[in-house]
Amino acid sequence: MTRSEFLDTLRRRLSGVPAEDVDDVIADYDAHFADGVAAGRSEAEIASALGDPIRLARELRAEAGFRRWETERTPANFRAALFGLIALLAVDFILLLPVLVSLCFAVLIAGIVALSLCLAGIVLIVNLFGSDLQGLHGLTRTMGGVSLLGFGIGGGALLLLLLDWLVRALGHFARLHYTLLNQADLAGPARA
Amino acid sequence: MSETVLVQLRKGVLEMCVLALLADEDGYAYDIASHLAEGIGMGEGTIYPLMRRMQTDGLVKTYLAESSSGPPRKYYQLTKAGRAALAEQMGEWNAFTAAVTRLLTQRGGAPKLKGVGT
Repeated sequence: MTRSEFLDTLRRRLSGVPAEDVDDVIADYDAHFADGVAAGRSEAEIASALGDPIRLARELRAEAGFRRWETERTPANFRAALFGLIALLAVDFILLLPVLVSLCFAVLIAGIVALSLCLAGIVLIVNLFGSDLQGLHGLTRTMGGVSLLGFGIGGGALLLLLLDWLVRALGHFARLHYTLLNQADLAGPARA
Repeated sequence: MSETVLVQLRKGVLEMCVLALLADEDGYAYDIASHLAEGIGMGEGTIYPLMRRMQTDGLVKTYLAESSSGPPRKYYQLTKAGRAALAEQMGEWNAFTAAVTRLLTQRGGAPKLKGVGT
């Protein structure tokens, strides 16, 4: 990506942010390119070190909205802050949503299967007491019931482990992505 | 896993590192960014949102100065509040790292593989 491609993308993605703020941001990154080129790097190198301008714009916009809300708590600023943050998260969630929905569905199905295995086992065992089955036949039925029950409980336990892992993975993913919120939190106590 | 920890650590000390870099002499963003990229592996783009935030917080102020190459440069300078914040954060950092080092050495040797980072 060249210098002008980077700056154009950034400016386009910052539409809606006050013009003077946008000019400041663009001037900063323009100077960064100038300094980088003076230090003997190529524009493409500098651009890749700066990161994705779309992602950068999303963070800067969220940051700008957040700041405005902090200095002046008006409904319009609340909207700006909220939409900025939602936009920051939206891409992650749009990417994640189909995955999440299918995972939830799979977990639900697996849960139902585990539960019905348990129920079938219990029914088999309970039925045995009412019936007059004797000897080998009764024994195989009991064994069948117990193993079904075991499969059900084991499957349920595995499912719980999987769920726990999923939730934690999701948490890590979220924490990695909410750069802005994390930094705001960390900067907070230091100022007090 | 350890990558996650590193990202979080960098993020946490970023502001303190910028304050420390500016404590000795005023600097411009490119210079600060390359020091941070070299020193602790920060992405260069991270510096601009951070400088903006620190300016709003009153930790740094800016002025324009002539540069040998091209247009005047924007320099960042620590404010009084910035120096106070640096002293406070360095104190916290030193106490914290000392405590962590103590804890790690007390446990004796390398940590067990299982359970690390969970």
